[in-house]
Amino acid sequence: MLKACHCCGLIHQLPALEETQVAYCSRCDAALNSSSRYASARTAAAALGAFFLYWPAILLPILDIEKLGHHHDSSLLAGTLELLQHGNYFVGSIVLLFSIVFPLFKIVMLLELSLVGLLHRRHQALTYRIMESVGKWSMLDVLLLAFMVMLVKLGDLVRFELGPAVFAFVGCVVMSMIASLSFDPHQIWQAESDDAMGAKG
Amino acid sequence: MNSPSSNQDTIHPTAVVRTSTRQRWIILGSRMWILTLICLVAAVGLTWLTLRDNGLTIAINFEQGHGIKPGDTLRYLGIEVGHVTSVDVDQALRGVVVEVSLDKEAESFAREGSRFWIVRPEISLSRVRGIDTVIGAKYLSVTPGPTDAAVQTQFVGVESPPLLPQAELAEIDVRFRQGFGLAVGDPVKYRGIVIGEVKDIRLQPNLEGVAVSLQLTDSARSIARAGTQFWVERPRVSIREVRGLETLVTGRFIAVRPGPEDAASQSEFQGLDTAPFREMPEGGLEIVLFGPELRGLQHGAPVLYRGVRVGHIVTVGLASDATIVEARAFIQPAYRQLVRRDSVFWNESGIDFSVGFTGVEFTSDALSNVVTGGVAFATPNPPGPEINTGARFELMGQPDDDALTWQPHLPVGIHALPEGTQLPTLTRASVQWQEKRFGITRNRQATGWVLPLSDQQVLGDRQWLLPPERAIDGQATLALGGEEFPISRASFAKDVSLPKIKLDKALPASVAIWPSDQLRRPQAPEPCLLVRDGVTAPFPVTTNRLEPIRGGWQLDPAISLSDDWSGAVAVSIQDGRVLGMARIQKGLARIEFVAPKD
Repeated sequence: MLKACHCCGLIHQLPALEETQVAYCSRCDAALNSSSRYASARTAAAALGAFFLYWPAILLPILDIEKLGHHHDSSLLAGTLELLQHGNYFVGSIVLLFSIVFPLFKIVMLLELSLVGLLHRRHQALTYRIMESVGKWSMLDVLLLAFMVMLVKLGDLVRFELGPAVFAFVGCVVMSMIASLSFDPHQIWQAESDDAMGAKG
Repeated sequence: MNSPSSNQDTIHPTAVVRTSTRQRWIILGSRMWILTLICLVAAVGLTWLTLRDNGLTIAINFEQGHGIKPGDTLRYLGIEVGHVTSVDVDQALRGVVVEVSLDKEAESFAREGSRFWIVRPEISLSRVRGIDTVIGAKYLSVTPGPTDAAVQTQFVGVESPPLLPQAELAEIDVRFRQGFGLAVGDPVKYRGIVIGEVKDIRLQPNLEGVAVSLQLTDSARSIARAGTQFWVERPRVSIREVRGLETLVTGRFIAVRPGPEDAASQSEFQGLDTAPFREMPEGGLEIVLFGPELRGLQHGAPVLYRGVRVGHIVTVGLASDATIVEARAFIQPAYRQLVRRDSVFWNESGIDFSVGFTGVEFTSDALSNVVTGGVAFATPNPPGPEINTGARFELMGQPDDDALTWQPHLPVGIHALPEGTQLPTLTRASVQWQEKRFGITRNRQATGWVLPLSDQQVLGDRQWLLPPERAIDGQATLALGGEEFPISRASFAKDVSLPKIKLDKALPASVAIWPSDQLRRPQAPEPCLLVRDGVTAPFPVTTNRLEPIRGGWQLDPAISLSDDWSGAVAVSIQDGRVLGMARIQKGLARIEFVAPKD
C-alpha cells in the first residue's frame, strides 16, 4: 500500500502494521499513519462536543449590556433575529448565515463524514468539498473576536456582563476547531482503497 | 510500460516502522470522547443554570407605560430583583401590561399587597425624584406586601411611589374652597417638618370645592382631632407680611395647626382659605371698636400703642343693624394693662394730607398701616380703671392732640403680676478696660445688661461686669446711659455673683431706676417672670421648672432660652420684686440670686 507523507510528500510503501506500530516517513520522520487510525474517532468526538455546545451558545443570553441603566441581554440567535426585525436585512442575514447557519452546517457535516457515514462515498466527497468551501466562511471564531473588541473598546462607556452562553460559545469554537483540524479527508477514501486492495489481494 | 505495482515496489521507499512505546489509552477510538462528554455536561449545566435563575413571572397593569421597555429592571430599595420581559398594551387598549420575571430569590415579592410603580424623572417644585432615570432607563420599583400574604401574580401598578409604609398611615379628608395648585404628593407640614402627604385631590361632587385626602404618619396621627385647622401654605407677599416664601421654591404644602389637646379625634375637616391669624393666647383682652366707617381697616391689622404692636384686629364687619362698623380687637396679655376705661382709639390708616396757611402737612404711617390699616390708642394720665373683655370703644378718625401727649406710667407684663406693679427696665451697659499684651496696650470691652438701682448703684452679672485680671491696675470704665463711670476690681466683693456697684456720680436721668428696696433674695423656688427688654414679652417660669442650687436656681433644661436672655431679671410674681438675674451658659439657664442684704 502506498501512502504519501502529509509533510514532505514523499510516497512510501506502507507495510502492514501491528496495533502498536507506527509508520514514519523515511525522509522527514513525520508519522504516516498515527492520525489516520484515530482521526475519525477524534473528529467525531470533537464535532459531537461542538454540536452539544452549539445550542446553549446561540440560545442562552451571551451578553448583558448595561448602558446608562438600559439593560439588554440577548442571545446570539435573538440578537440576529432582532437585527432582521429592525429591517437590517443585509447585515442580519450575513450574520445569520455566517455565524449561525454555516457553523452548524460545518459541525453537522463533520459529524456526518466522521461518524455517521450515511452518504455514498461519492457524495461524501462532494459533502467534503462543500464543507471545505462553506467552512471557510464559518465565522463563529470571528464573532468571538468581535466580542473581545467590544469588551476592550466600550468597557468605559458600557457595562458588560458575559452571559452563560459565552462559556458554551468558547467551548464550541474550540471543539469545532479541533474537529476540523483533526479531520483527515483521507479517511473517506481510506476504507475504499482498503476494500479495493483487499479485492485485489 | 511497467505495471504500477512493480513501480511502487522499486521506486518508493518503505516507511520506517517503529513500535510505539507510549501506551494508548483509548475509549471508543479516541480520548476526545471524554471532552465530548464534558461538552455535553457543560451544555446541559449551563442551560440549567440559566433557566434556574428565572423565577416567577408576574403581570402588572399600569395606566401608563412611561417608556418602560423589555430588559428594564425591577428594583427594590435600589437593588435589582427582576427584569421586564414584555410590555404590551392590554386588550381593551386602556392600559399597559408589563410582564416582569422575578429573580429566583425575589419571588416573595409576588404576594398580595405588593405595590409596583414606574420610577421616572419628576421635577416639581416640591421635589426632585428619579433623576437617575433622566439619562438612564426607567425602572420599576416595588414595596412588598405583608410577609404572610398569599401569592399573587397579577398586580395593578400605582402611579407614584407610596412614600410611607402603608401600615403606619392615618388618612383624613380635608375640604378646601380652593386647591391653590396643590398636587398629589405635596407634603403636610407641622412646625416645619413633614408629617404626611397629599394622597388624592378631587373636586367635590357639587363642584363647590376641592376634597383633599391626606395621609399622616403614625406619629402625627393625634393631630387629626376636632379643632385642627388646615390651610394651603402658598407664597404671599403683601405689605403687611411676607409669608410662605419657601413655597416659591419648594412648592405648596398643607400647614396644620392642631386643635385642643383633649379634643376628640376626627377624620374630616374643613380647610381654611388663608392661614389663621396669629394665636390668641390666654389672658389677652378682646375689645370692640366701633365707628362710622372702616377707612381701610382690615382683618389682621395691628393695634398700636405708641407705634408698638400690642394686638391685632380679629374681625371687621357691619353691626347687626348696619348703622356702624364694628371691629373686634385682641390685645396681647402682656399689654392688657395699657387699655383703660378712658383710653382713646383712633384709626391710623393711610396718609394724612392737609394744606394750611403754614404749608403742606404730610403725615404717613408705616407702609403696612397704609395698606391694611391700623388702630392706635392712648391712655390718659392718670389712667382710668381697668376693663374686661367685651368693652366697647369708639374708633375715631383722628387722634386728639391731647391724646398724643399722654404719657401714663402703666405696667407692661403678664397680668398675673400684682396690681400696679411695674416691671424693671434693664439698661445696656459696657465695661471698657485696657490690657497689655506683648507690650501693646489694647482696648477691650464687654457688654451686657445691668439694672440701675437707686442710690447710685447698678446691679449686674459678675461674669462680664468684673474687669479681668489682665486689666491695667484692675481699672475699667462702665459706660451706661451715655456717661462713663470708673470702676475697679477692688470694689467687687468676692463670691458675689450679682454685685451691686457703687458709682461715683448720679446716673443720668434718662436711665430708668429701680428702687433698691425692691430686691429680695428668695428662699424656696417661687414662680417668677424673666424680663428682658420692652420688646420681648416676659418669660414666665413656674416653680416646678426651678431646681435650687447654690446661690440660685437651675432652670429645667427643657426650657431653651437663647443666649440673649443672659442678664434678664427674674421678677417675683408674688410681690413684683427682683430676685436675680438669668445667666445662660452652654444652653443651660440659671438664675443667680441678688446678694443678701448687707
